[in-house]
Amino acid sequence: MIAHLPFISIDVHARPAIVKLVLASLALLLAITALRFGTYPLSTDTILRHLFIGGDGIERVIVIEHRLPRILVAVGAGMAVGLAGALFQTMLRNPLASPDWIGFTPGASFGALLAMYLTGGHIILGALAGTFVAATIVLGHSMQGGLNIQRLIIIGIGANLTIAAGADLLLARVDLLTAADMAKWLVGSLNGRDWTDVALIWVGLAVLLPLALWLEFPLRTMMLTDDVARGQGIAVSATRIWVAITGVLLVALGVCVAGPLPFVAFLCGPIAKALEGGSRPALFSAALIGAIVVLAADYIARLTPLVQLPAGVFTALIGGPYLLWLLVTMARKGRIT
Amino acid sequence: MLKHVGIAVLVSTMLAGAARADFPVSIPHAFGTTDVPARPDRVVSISLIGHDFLLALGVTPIALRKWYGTDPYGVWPWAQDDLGDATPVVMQGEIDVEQIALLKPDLIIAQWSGMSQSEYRILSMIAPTLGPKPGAGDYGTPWQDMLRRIGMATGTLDQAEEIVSGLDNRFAEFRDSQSNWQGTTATMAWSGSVGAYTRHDLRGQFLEALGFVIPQAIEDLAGSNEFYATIAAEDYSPLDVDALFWLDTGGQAAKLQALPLRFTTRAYHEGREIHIDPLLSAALSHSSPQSLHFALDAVVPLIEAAMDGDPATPVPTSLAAGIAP
Amino acid sequence: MTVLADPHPPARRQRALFRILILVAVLTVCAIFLGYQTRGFSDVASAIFSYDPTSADDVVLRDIRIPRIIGALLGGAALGASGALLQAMTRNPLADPGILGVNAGAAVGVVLSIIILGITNPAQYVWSALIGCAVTSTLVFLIGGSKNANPMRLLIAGATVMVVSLAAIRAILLLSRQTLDTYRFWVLGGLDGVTYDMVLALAPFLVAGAVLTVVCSFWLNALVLGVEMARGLGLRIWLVQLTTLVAVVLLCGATVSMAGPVAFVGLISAHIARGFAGGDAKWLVLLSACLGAALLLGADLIGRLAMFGGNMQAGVMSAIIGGPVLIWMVRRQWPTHT
Repeated sequence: MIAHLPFISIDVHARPAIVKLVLASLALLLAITALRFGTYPLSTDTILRHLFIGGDGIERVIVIEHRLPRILVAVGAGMAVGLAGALFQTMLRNPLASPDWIGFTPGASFGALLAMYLTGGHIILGALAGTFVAATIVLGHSMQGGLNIQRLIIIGIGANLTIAAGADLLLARVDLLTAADMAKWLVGSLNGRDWTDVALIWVGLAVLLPLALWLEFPLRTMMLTDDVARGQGIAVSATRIWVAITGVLLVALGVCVAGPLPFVAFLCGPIAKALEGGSRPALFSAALIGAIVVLAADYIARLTPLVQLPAGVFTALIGGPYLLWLLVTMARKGRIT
Repeated sequence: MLKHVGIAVLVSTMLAGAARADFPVSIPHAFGTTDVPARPDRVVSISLIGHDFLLALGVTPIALRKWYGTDPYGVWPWAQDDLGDATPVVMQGEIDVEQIALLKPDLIIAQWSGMSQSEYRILSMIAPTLGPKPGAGDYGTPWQDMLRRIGMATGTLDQAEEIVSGLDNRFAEFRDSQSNWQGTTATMAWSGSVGAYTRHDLRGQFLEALGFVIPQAIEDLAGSNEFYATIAAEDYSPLDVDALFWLDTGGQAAKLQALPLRFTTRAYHEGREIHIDPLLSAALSHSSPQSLHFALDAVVPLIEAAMDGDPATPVPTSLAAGIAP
Repeated sequence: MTVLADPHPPARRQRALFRILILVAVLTVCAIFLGYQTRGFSDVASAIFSYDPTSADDVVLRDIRIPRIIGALLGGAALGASGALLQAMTRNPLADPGILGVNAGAAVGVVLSIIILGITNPAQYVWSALIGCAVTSTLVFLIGGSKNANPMRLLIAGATVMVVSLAAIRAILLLSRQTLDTYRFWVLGGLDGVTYDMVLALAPFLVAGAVLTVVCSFWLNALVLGVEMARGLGLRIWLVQLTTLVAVVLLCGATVSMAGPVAFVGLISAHIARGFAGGDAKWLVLLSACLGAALLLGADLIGRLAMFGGNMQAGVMSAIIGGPVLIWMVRRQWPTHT
C-alpha cells in the first residue's frame, strides 16, 4: 500500500509494519514488567512517583539507579547486537555468518579483558581497540578487489580460534580469583550497569541505528548477487564497507556495556526475517528482537533467588539449543548456503 | 578521704571508658569513604570470606555471600561454632542489589568481593559499604588489616586487636619454639602444571609468618604474575626446599605420583613433603582468623614430621594420600 | 579435479617422504638433547644405559623428554592424518579438526567430566574427550552436509558448533571454581605431563584410528574418480564418510586427551603435504601425518626451551602461529575470484 505523505510517497507493506509494531510493544511491555516487578517489592505508585516526581531513599535507588539503567542498557545492547548480527548475515548472504564467530565479538571481549588485566580499567577503550584490531585484520585480509566473502568467513573462523586461545592464556596467567572474575565477564553480564553505560550505548545507537536502517535499502538489493545489485547502480563494495564499519561499531558498543552475550547476534536476523516474511533483511525487527532477548535474559537472571548468574548464561541457554535446532532443520531443507 | 578520691578515680575511669566514642567512624577505602554513624545491627557481608571475620568478632551477619563448597550456610567447618544457631541468608554468584536492599542492612562488608565501582555506588546508597583498602587491590590486603577495618566498622576494634595479637603470638611462639627451622626454605606448590606461590600471595605469607623463607628462585620465576610462579617441567630446582607443601584441591595425589622428576627431589627422599588436603587448602586460601587457627592446628604436627628430614617418620597426610616415599 | 596428467610423479612423492622423515629424525634428536637445559651425548647415553632413578638428569631424559617426544610424534601424526582425511573427504582445503569444532567437542566432554565426575587427571579424560568429539563431529557433518554443495557450509557448521561448545563451557565454568581451575590450564594444550602409561593407555585408540585411516585413504582415492564411478565400484559413500569420521574421532579424541586442544596442525601439515602428494589420498595422509609429527614435535621443543620459561604450551603456540598461517593460506587460495 502506498502512503502519500507531503513530499514523499512510501511503499508500506502491511506485514512488516505490523511485525515491527508487535515487537516494539512486546519490548515495551517487557521493559515495563522488568521495571515493575523484581526481588525488592515496589508498588506501581512508588515507581511512578520516583520516575516522574522524584524522591529519595532506598526505593529511589532501586528504581532509578538499579532497575532503570539496567533495563535501558539491556534494550540498547540487545538492539545493537541484534542489528549487528542481522547486518552481517545479510551482507554475507548467510544466516550463519554472525559477528560472534568471525572474530569481532571475541575481539571485543578479549580487548576488554586485556585492558582489565593490564590497567584494571578502561574497558571501553579495550573493547573498541580489540574490535578494531580484529576487524582490521579479518576485513583487511578479505579484501581483494572488494570484499571476498569466502575469505572473510574463513579468516574470521581462524581469528575466533586464535583469540579464544589468547583469552585462555590470559585466564591461566592470573590468579584464580581474578580468573573467576574474568570468566564471569567472558559470558556477558548486565550487573552493575549505570547511567554512563546507558549514555554510551544510546548515543551510539542514535548514530548507528539510522545509518543501519539507511543501509537496508542497498542491502536489500544486494541480497541476491552482486551483479544484480551493480546493475541497479548500487556501489557494492562501498556499501559492504559501510555495513562492516557500522556492524563493527555496534558490536564494540554492545560488548562494552554488556560483555559478549552469546548468540544474540546470530538469533535475531533469521527470526526477524521469518516473522516479516518475504526476503527483506528486516533490520529493525532484528534489533527489536535483540532487545527482547537480552531484556528477558537479564530479567530471568535478576529474578533467580539467591544465586545470581550473569545474563549471558541465559542467552546461551535460549540461543544455543535454538541455534542447533535451526541448523538441523536448515540442513534438512538444504538451505544453509 | 582517700577512699573518696579512689572511688572518684574509679568512676571517672569507667565513665571515660564508656564515653570513648567508637561511632561515628569514617573508614577510607579504594572507592571512597565509609561513614558508619552508629553501631550497626544488621550487617550484610558480600565479601567471599567476610562472614568468617564477622563471626570471629562476635558479629553475626544477617546475610552472607558464599564462596564455594557444600557446607551449611556457606560457612566452613572452622567457623561453624561461631555461627551457632544463626540462619543467615546465603547469597551466591553476582552481587544481588535488590536482595541486599530487601534485608535493610546498616552496614555492608565488601572487602575481598570483586565489587566494581558502579556496584559500590549503588550499594553505598543503600547502606554504608566498606570497600577494600586502597592500594592493595581487592584481594591483596593482609587479613590483619581486613579484620581491623571490620572491627572499626562494627565497633569491635578491641576484639579485632586481640585476635590479631593472639594469632601473631601464636606464630611467634611457633617461630621461637622451632628456632632451628628459622631461615629454612619452604614453598606451597600444586601439581598439574606445577606452580608455587610467592611471598606476595597469602599462602606464601603464611609460610613466612611461620619463619620459613621462600626461595628466591621462585620469586624470580614469578614474572608478570606476582602471586605464583610456574615451575618448568624439566627443572624442579626451585622446589629444593626443606619443607614442601603440596596443595591438593581435589584428586591430585595421583597426579603427584605421576610426576617423574619429583622422585629425584631432596624433599621427596627425605620425607619433607606435606600433603595438604582440600579442607586444609581451603583454610589456607580463606586466611581468616578461624581458618588460620585451624590451619595452624593441623599443619604444625605435619611440619614437625617433615622437618626431621627422616623418611622413616612419615608425614601423616602424605602417607594417607599415598605420596610418601 | 581431473586425474588426467598427474603432475606429481611418484618419485617426487617418495623424495618428499624421505625428506620429511629426515626432518622428523633430526627434530627427534634435537628434542632429546635440547630443552630447559641442553644435555650432551654422554648424558643421554647414561640415561638410557645406566639409568639412575635418583638422578634428576636421567629422569628428565628418560621419563620426561622421551615420553613427551613419543606423545608429540603420535599426536602430531594423528592430527596431521585427521586433517588430511577431512580435507580429502570434504574436498575442502581448509578442513582441520580444530576448525570443524572437533577439539571444542572434546573440550566440552572434558569440562563435563571435571564438573560431574570430578576427574582432574588428564590421563582419564580420554573417554569423555572421545564422546565429546564424536558428538560434535556428528553434528558438524549432519549440519554441514555431505553433499559437496559448498565448502563454506562445512566450515560454518564447524564454527557454529565451536561457538555453541565454547558458550556451554564458559557457562559451566561459572558454576564450579574447581572446574575453572583445572580447565584453564588444560585448555592451553600441551604435552606437559605425558608419561609412558598415558601413551600406552591411548595406544589402542591411536592404533584403531590408524588402521581405519589406512582403509579410508584407499577408499577416498576411489571417490576422487567421482561419486558415480565409486558407486559403480561397489563403494557406499556413506560408509566411507562414516569410517573417516570414526577414524578422525579416534585420532583426535586420543590426541586431545593427551595434549589438550591443539589447533591448526592438521590444516598446515595437510596443506603442505598436498603440494607433494597431489590428489592421491594415500600419499596425502602419509605425508601429512609425518609433517604433523614434525610440527607438533617442533612446537613442543620450542616450548620446552628455557627462553620461554620452559613451559610455553604447544596449543597456545599453534593457535598464535596458526592464525597468520591461515590468513596466508587463504590469500593464496582465493587470489582471483570473488
